[in-house]
Amino acid sequence: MSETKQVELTSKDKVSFKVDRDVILMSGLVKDMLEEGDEDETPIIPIPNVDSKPLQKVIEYCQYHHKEPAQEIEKPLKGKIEDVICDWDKKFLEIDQSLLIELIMAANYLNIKDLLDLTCAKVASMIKGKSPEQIREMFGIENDFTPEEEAKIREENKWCEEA
Amino acid sequence: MFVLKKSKDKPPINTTPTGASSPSTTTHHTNSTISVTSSSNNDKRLSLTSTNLARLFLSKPSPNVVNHAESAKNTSSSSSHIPKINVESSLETNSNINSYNQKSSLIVNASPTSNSSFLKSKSKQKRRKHKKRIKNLRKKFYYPEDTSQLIRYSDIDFGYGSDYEFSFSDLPDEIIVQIFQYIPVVYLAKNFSVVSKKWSSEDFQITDKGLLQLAHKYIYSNADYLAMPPAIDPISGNFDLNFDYEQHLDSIDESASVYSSTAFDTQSYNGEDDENTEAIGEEDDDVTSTASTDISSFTNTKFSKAIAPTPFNVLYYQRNFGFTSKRNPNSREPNYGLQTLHTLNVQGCHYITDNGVKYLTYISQNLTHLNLRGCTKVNDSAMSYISQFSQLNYLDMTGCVNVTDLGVKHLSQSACKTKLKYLDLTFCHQVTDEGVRYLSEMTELEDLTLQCCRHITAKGLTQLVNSCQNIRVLNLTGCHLLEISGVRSGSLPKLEKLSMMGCKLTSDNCLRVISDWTCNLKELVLSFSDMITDGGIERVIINSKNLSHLNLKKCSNITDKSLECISKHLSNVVEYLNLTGVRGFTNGGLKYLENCTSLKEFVIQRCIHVNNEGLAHLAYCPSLEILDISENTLITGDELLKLCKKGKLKQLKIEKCKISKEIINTLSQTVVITQ
Repeated sequence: MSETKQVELTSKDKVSFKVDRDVILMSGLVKDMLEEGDEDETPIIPIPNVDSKPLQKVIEYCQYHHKEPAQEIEKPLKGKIEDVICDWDKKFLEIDQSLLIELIMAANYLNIKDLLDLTCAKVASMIKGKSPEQIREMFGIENDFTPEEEAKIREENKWCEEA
Repeated sequence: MFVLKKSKDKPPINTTPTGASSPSTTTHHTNSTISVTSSSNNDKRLSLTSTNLARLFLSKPSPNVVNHAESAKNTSSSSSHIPKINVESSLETNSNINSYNQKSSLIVNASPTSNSSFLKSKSKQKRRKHKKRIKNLRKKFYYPEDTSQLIRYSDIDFGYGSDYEFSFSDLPDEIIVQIFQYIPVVYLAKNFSVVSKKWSSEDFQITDKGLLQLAHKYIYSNADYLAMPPAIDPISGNFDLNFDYEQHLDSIDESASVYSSTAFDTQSYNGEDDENTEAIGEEDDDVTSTASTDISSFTNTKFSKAIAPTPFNVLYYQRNFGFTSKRNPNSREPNYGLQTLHTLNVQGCHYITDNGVKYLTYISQNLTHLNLRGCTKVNDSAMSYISQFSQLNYLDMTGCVNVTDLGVKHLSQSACKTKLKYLDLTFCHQVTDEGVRYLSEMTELEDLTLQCCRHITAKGLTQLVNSCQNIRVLNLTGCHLLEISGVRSGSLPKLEKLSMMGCKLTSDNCLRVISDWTCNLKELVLSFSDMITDGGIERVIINSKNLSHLNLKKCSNITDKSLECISKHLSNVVEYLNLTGVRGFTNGGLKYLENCTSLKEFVIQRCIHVNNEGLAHLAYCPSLEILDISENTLITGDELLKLCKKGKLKQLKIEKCKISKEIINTLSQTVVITQ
């Protein structure tokens, strides 16, 4: 136990990452996989659902946060996400949308709660003030309401519309 | 503290039945996506034993089961959006994923919290067997003798190229629901529910069905399960339904340019839209609607889906109370009904109707705390069900706008009539004097909030004052028809906190009435009462020896004399003083404060006659820690520097003050600055 044990992660596109065992234990999935295995050698864990780019981000996140646990993010977000997270996280989130989504799915798959919270909150912050039309566009959802149905829903939610 | 993470214990439940009948790969797939990802808290959330599971599925088709099936369906269909990742991986990665997955469901069964010992041993055996298998599998997997195996493994085509651009549409439903947790309920209801049928469906809302499921599920689970605080907190106390009446009044005040519409986007969602503000000034406007916008939180969760063991999310763990299980740990009997549940918080679940409340009465008899804030569909008939909770002593119905006098009548004839101590009817504006008459039959009330019940008049209050002698806290904010001076006789000897913000106190007579009620006042809010004068204040001050918290915001007829009076009679008592916008207040008044040895917080926003000279006096206030001088443009930085050097200031609010950056920097070394 004296030396830092390492784990090798293999991404979907066959890129390997060597990570300290302590770091990657932030991932619930990896933790479970390592739980009962032999610990003598460097285990290789394939992460078949995650590309190397997001995986690298994930590892980056774990390396920073395994020692400094992230502050819990308020639910719901009252302002913008930038107001409630630390500087490192802010910088960490300066990524394009595609990578952000890959990151969410990676965090979900690898079961890293803090990262999932952070990325979900980021998306929430992005879509919060958007109109229904904008949201539909972003999520590629078709409006399946008839005008009457839509009016009815709006009526039901009038309590907040009147604000 | 337990962190009962997302609900993913549902998958085991969900798979067991289907898996038993037809162990298809797809089932495993659903399972794997969910349970594997969730595993972090396996050992903590295992309250469902197999017996109970069996019971659950043997019982008549409850909505639960139906829902699980649905959820299974849904998960698989949603995952098809994600370019085949899950499906293919589970199909082609041999048994690896499946084995993990079995493992995690196994752990669930072998939970340490499961009460029946025989089950434990049984599952232990099982577990051992599985361990062996898993080990074998994993060995092969970790140390492949034939490296090609690994390559083959990662060669799998996942259905999209490496240059695939991900978009939001790739996100599975369960993640969307997680994202929604961060979005205030106002936005969800307003913008998100109209996006599509799916998003407006019950899966994203808390409904009666959720409560019904709660009933079913609780019956078939161990009480231990619920004794843990759920980690997902979609409807918890995280959000605030407090309509800031003060801000509302501020915004209709023409001099208050500071607040107004910007508030909407920044932090408070107080719904202070300009047009609305105008409307509020008129008699006919619906104050309540403005108010309810304040449910700045989100409640919708995909209750019935994989993300959470759903119904449990309805149960709220409240920080102050919590719900505890007093169940006998040796008993193998499942807990029938919610006998142990005493606190339920369904704040902001605006889909709950009287039917939901009815289900609740089936399952719980011992409820003592019920929070229905923002459940706008709760009506009078729901109140008749609520009145069946004989132990209820805390009821929060803020924003239940459909409750009328009839509802209050039900309550007053209820079993909890003499138990109820805390009642909040904020924004229940259909409650009139008649309702207050029923309220006065509940003689044990200690804390009563009638904020914005704007039809209440002196007639109703007279009755209340004459019968509810135990009231300690009374909030009449925004009852602007209430003419206190018309309240005849009566007293509230125990009254400690009284809030009459915006109550149109027409003369000092009102204050005379108040001071006749009690001499124990500790907190008094008279904001926006521009008819009262120094004489009235003096009367209250002389009579209330314990008054420590006094808010005279915008009482524009108040002058320095009141301060003199405070320093004379309350110098050792007063801790909080708010004189925002009091124009008659000058430098001379500040001088009196030197005597107030216990004054901790002092707010003088927009006091146009206060300048450096007056501020200098504050340096002699021995206990002053928080000072708010926002919008006082006459005060300069140098004086503040002096003050901070001498005094014990800890916090300083200087919004819209003309103070240079350098000085702010220097100041911020010693005090917390809010700009």
